[in-house]
Amino acid sequence: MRFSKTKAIVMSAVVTLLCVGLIVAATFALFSASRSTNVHLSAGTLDAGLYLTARDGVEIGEGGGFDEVASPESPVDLTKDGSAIFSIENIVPTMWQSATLRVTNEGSVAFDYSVCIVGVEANDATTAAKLLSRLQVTVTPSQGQAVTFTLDQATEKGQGIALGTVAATDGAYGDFTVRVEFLNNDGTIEDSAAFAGAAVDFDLTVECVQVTASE
Amino acid sequence: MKTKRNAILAAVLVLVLCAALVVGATFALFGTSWNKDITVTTGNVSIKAAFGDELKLTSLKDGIPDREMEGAFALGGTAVLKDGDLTLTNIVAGDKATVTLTIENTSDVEVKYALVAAPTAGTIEGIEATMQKGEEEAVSIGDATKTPEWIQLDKGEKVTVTVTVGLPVEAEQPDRTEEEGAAEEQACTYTFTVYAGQANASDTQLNTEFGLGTSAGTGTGEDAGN
Repeated sequence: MRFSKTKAIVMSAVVTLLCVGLIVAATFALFSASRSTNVHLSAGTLDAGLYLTARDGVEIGEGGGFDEVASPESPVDLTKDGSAIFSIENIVPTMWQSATLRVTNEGSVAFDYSVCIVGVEANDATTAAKLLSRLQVTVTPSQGQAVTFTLDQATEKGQGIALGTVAATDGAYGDFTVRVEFLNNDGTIEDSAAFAGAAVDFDLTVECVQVTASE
Repeated sequence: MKTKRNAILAAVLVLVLCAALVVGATFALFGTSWNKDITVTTGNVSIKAAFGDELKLTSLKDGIPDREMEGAFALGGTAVLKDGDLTLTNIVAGDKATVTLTIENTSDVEVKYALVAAPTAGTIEGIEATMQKGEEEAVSIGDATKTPEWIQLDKGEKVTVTVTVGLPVEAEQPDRTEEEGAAEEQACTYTFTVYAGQANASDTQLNTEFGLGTSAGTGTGEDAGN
């Protein structure tokens, strides 16, 4: 009798375990059916153009005269044109030049665009500090506040200057202006010999980054 | 059991792959950039100014003004030009010393120049200093209270002007009392300074920055004769 009862209990436990196992295993073996549907994904393209549309300011002509800078007759494609945005020669105090640049959206993704001043170099260490503090850069977006700083401040103030957003619509673009001016020295006469032969070179980096969805 | 394990493993693998996709996607925004160059070089403003070799003396003689004299004025007065300084001694009405001054623009740009003659030693009452360019009308350059005339000079251009210092014929002798006795020897020295500035500056700006047109005017410029 005792053996039968024990045996029955054990058998019950085994059966229970088997049932649990069956249930667990069965969980992963339910009848199922599936349907598939085609999902087409295509990547958007961020494609932008950079054009020089206008120039302004003063340049020194061949005869040494102070001439007005001429604007290009048609926009210059800066992505293909390897030349500098502008090159100011024989700059003297109060002289300035500016360039208006246009960023166009030629892709299917809206993007934010910004500029940085990088790679500021002077050919003469002696005059560098003096000249860099007298060359003022002003970046003016088509909408919003202009950012102004001298080239010796470019590392702190000339980085990531946000200019706006260009939508992914036909013909969409954004304009901004970069102006470089040789500041006057508090209205006092100074000997140009202090800057003799000085030259400054820097890069303007224009960056376009896709707009991300707001949270 | 094996099926369960496989299912769990598969679920974990999917979760890991999804996480990787999310992390990877955060650093792969579409973007583009360009680097464009801007260069700036400085110009210079510089001039050269030099007196001619000859100092011409003229006096009122025999009632005829501006008669050329040799070595000294008609009544013994003298004029000496040295290192940009002109020294006149014992001149009388009608005595004038004339010299040419050549100014050259050695700058990279157009400049404006102005010539100023200022007494630096002694005084002779009524003395006049003028500058004449070619056949143009002579302009006064010796009145420190007046702003000078600024004249444009192209890059590389050289101009020669005539500078005259002396007493006009109508100048009056200073009154002297009997106690003062005979007139003392009168002598004065004038220093000629050529100022030059970038041509895109206004005359007002140049006068202000050089301090010209005031009795205490000071400024930097090229001393004629250097």
